[in-house]
Amino acid sequence: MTKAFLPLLKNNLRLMFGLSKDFKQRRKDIAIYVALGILILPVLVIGCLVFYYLAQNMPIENLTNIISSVMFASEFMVLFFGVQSAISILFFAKDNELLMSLPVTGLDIFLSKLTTIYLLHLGLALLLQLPIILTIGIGAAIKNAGFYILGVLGSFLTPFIPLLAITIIAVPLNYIISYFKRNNIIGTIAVLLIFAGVFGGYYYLIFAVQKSAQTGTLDMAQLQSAIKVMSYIIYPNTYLANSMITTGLTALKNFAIFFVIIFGLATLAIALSALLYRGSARRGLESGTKSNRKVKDNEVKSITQSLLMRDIKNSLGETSSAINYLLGFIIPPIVMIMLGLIYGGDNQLGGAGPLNIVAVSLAFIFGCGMNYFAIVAFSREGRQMDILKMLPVSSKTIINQKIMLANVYTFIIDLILLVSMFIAKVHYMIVIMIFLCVLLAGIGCNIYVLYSDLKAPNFVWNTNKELFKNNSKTLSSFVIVMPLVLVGIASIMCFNVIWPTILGDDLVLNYFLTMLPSFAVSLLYAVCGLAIIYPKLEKMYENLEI
Amino acid sequence: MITINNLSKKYKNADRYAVNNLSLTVNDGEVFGFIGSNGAGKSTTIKCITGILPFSEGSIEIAGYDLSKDIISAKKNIGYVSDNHSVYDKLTGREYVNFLADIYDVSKELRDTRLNDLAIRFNLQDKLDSPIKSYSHGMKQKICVIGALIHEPKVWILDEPLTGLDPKSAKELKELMREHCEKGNVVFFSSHVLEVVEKLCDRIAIIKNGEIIATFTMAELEEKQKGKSLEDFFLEITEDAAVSDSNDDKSNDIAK
Repeated sequence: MTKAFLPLLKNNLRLMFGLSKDFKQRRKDIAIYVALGILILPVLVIGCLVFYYLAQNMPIENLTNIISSVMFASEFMVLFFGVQSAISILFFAKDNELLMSLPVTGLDIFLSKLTTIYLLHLGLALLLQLPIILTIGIGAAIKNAGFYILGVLGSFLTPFIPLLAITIIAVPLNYIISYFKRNNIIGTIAVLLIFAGVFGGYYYLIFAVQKSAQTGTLDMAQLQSAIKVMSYIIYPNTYLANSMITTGLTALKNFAIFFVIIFGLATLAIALSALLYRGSARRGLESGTKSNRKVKDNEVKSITQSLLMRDIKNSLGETSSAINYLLGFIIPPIVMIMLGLIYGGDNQLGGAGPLNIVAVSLAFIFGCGMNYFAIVAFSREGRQMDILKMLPVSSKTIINQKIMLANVYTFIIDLILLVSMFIAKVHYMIVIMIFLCVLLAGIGCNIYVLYSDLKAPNFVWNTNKELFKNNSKTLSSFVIVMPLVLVGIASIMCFNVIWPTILGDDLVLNYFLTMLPSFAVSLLYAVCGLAIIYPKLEKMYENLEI
Repeated sequence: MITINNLSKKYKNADRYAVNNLSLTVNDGEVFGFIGSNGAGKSTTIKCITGILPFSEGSIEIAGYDLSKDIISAKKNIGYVSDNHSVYDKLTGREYVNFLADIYDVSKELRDTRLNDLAIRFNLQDKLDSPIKSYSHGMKQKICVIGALIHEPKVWILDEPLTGLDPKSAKELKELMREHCEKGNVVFFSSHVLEVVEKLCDRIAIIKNGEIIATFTMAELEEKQKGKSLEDFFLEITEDAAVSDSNDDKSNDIAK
């Protein structure tokens, strides 16, 4: 490592955490962070209360499992929120070309980026893990100061584990992928598979803990089976937890083992990066320069086909941007299936509540609210918006193409959810109604979100972060779908109370009526989108100034 | 072929007009040079002509089609090479040109022939099936030019087209421009390389602060401004002090 590490780190931190120079945007960003903080606070408070009561009623020797599970959950939260940005920053950053030309080692570049990501997620780990661990200590009336000191220290160290895990998997993987010609496609698939594995493990663990908490007693066997596989991989937590519960030499010994494991992982990650990072980054920059001897034919397509294919290739042509667009294909089905494994099959009145609530929420949020094909429909053109504007194609055709692509995405997610809900054993009436609701609401939401992008497009972006992390648009897309989610959840919660008393045990009729309010709201979304917002889009596109 | 009447364009939230009451005509068979300092309004004018930017006032006609009334027909007659070489990096050269050919409805036979000819002319035939992101700056420029010509437009609008081109390709492009005009078409050409403008253009307009301040042929310039090169004349006419305090009648003969 050279003295270039610090300036590189400072630059990364400025790029990552620096607030916008534009006062209005800065105010918006701060407001969003405050709003997120307010949203997270009740969740955190509830979590602390749950663990407080658990700790009060639990034998002290079982606390090790709880504490290591909390740390494990925190690590998976880091993975959940962090793996996408970690892989993007580490391997697909646009500044690689500039950095490679500088007199800095591959290790400097890699470590400065890894440190930035660590700091990004340290906040998350401290916010989630530390209050819960301290609450457990208070709940279990632990008076040993070492518990709290090691708890704080552990909170600083545990975020390293998932990041090092990403590095140890991803660095060699990226190195191998960089040799392949179609490395974009292979890279995208590999990264999506990593995501799928991470999310699958995370959600299985979370739901297992939730179910145990709901039944009132912690089923240790179930919990242990849930984390068993992962605990072999993310292994050091048990030692840290043991060091917190025990005292004296035993505590020191356990902490030393924990520290040595972290140190070993870090050494392995650094060694791999020193060996492989620069080579794979260089090949990444060279990709596409391999000569293609095979002469291809000139294909003729219709205008709409041509516009669509161009848009798809532009959006998915790079792994880092493809991940943003396709994440919706990964998270919802994994969550559904994992939840189904824990709760599925229990379609009796009252039993299917959590499953149906999650199904409805996932479907509306991912099918209607997180569609980046709509959120950045025009912004993603960037400086190439010129080309689209100068083409002899009517504004209506361009807009319809954008809407079509967004709706195709919604339809595919809808299909994926349909299949995963069946696998999770959600009642077929709920599945069919959700499918129809997402199709209808999706049309309305996509049109609204497109309107939102046309109203305030951002064509001046250099990195995917600048394109995708436009907080106000993503938030507005999320907000527009919330009424639908709330109606869906409220209907399902009322289902347990109202419909069965009127209609008896007929599940099909009960579920149909439960989902009817959501269907009505979805229809309203579609009608508003098509009748009110869609007619405005053409003029807005024509008046776009680049 | 290009008729602009009283074109005015003011950007949202701007204090002043980027283009103010601009009028000019480009006749069939002309290579028309459009020059001005940075920020004079060249790119804004060009973007209004190509339909990229909406304009506040005035009218623009391209090959007889009014941009406000029949923008699609007007655009079908334009081939545009932008100053920032806008291309889709994630497509191959062939995919990019085929995309444009699809939009401009060029038949398979014609696009096969034209693409092949142009690729050979610009020495790009071996790179057509490689991603544009692997192209050098000059190669991107070349693929932009090929894309702009695939449909043989009547009006060819080029904004700084020679930037990044190697000498052979620059010569090819200039020859293409001449050939294009000899067929009765129009080349509307903007560049900061005044030596090329001098040699290539039939007529030249100078824009300053959004207004045309001079329109002339090189023959007129030579007659009125004996011994002065285009560069000298340009610098003189665009200097604020020279224009406002000028006692030089010869400059004012050409300047508006």
